[in-house]
Amino acid sequence: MVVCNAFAIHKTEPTDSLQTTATTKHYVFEDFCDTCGCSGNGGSMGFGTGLDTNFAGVRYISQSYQSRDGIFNDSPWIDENFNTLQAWGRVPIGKRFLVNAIVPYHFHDREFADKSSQDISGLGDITVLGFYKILAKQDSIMVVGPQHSLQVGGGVKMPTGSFDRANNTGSVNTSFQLGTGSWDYVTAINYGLSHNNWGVSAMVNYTFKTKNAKDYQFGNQLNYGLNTYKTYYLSDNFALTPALGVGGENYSEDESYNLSVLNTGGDVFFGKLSVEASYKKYSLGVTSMLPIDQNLNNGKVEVKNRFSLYLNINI
Amino acid sequence: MKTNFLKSILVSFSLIALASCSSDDDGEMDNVNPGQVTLEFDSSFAGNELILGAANAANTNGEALTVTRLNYIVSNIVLVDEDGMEYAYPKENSYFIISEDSNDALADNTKIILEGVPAGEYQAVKFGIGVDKEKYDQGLSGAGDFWDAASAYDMTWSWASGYKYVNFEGGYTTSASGPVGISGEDFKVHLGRASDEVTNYTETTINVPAGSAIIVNEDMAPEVHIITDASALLTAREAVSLEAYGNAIMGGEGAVIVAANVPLVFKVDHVHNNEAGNSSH
Repeated sequence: MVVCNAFAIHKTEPTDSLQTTATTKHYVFEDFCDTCGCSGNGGSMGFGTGLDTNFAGVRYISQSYQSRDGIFNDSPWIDENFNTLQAWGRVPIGKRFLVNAIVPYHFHDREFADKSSQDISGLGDITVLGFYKILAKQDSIMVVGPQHSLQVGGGVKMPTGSFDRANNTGSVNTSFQLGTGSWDYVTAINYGLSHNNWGVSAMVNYTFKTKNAKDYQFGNQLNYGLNTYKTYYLSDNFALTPALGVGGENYSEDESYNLSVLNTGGDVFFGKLSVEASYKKYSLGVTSMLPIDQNLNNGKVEVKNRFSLYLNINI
Repeated sequence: MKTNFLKSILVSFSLIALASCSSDDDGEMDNVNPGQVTLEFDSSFAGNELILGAANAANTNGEALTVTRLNYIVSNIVLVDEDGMEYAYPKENSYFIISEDSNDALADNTKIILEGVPAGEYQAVKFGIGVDKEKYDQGLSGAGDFWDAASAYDMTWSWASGYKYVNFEGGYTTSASGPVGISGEDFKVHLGRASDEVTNYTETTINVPAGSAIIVNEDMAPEVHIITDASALLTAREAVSLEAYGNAIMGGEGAVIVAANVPLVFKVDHVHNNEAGNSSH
């Protein structure tokens, strides 16, 4: 959930033979956000949908929320911290297919107004997504002009993270969970455009959530993002890519025992700033997201900020 | 596994048997797979949490109340399901004192636990505030332990006068007449029976929020969170000034106005449909 916007990198390697052209190694990390620990609904995860690069890596995501502890107008706000450590990666299958996988580990904590505290930790929901490349970068080194890439895909988020109804009774923030407890299905589209050292990436994905074994169903979730970036080559092996973007999330109402759950659902719109440093096969990135506009859980939950740090190895 | 299966068949049969044996003509429900329902009363003052001893913003009469006691009798509880069918909790067990009292010797009562409620999805809670004429007419012998319990919470006058349905006390200030106005006067609002004709007993029906329901069965233990707005006692339907009644409303016209406000004091904020054995924070 987090991010849900795309972080993209564009790399151009000059060749000696043809000074006017370049091979373009272009990859985009689109952070896909799930429902646990993210805004209204729970933790976060992401998948890399590099357009041309396969990678494996680890990412840390922190999300800071505040929510109303109580039902009154003057009920106190409490802080909720969602932390996620995830392994993620992407491998190609044939020329046209890609598979992304994310394995998150969540550790969340919050302190109630009465000073009692609660923490939960454990494996989150594992997500596996497949993408088909409708448009891919051309392999030829004779490429001139803008490069487009377009991928469509889908996949499944498995109920490997535990869901405990008791977590939902302490606060209006129903996302204080390790997982949705349900089999959820994802569809996604990613688009990238790059030219010289500049690039733009856009993504939209939608998660259909189903009822879990505890008769709870998180609301469906729409994520979208738009990023622009530029890569600066500081040496043969070292490049720096700052990116600026916006992203948003939209949640439908949750249901419990087939009844709508009060104060769930909503939307949030973020501004995002990130920087990735790449050295040879390694990429180190840092991302910060701040809300521009939000109305989550009927105003009873607020995102304060999100932050992520990752290290990937391109394979 | 096998025994569970047999058991469920047996249960199904007995349900069918029960359903076919009893008549629905009386509009009462069959009590199958009964469950527990908790009514929790959370006090507010005009939307904010009611904190005893803390001053609240002035009301429409310009009176700023500091509440020290909010005790009331909840009675004759009825749950209404989606089809309008009513389940009346057994009357003999349907009198409760809800209290928030700055007298520490009196434990606060904010929960009513109803046992053996027939399975169903309920949409509304109906209850009385105070003691109805029928119960009053049973006299002291019909009151049982409830009279003593009410007495302990200062919810009674003499037997002839009966119960205090609401005992609402504290202090207040008013800025209406400037800085030389009333400052720190104590107030008492004691609502009760005036006569056979003017009982001041009222009932209220409060619906759960749209799309919600109180799900009752043997596996569930729902909690209905009801907000009691103390400020509404004096303002909900008709504003009544404490100053105008000499800081004490114990009967007469003032009590009749308060009694008319009482049904509007309550609302269901939300329902927690908890699994049995899984209470909320």
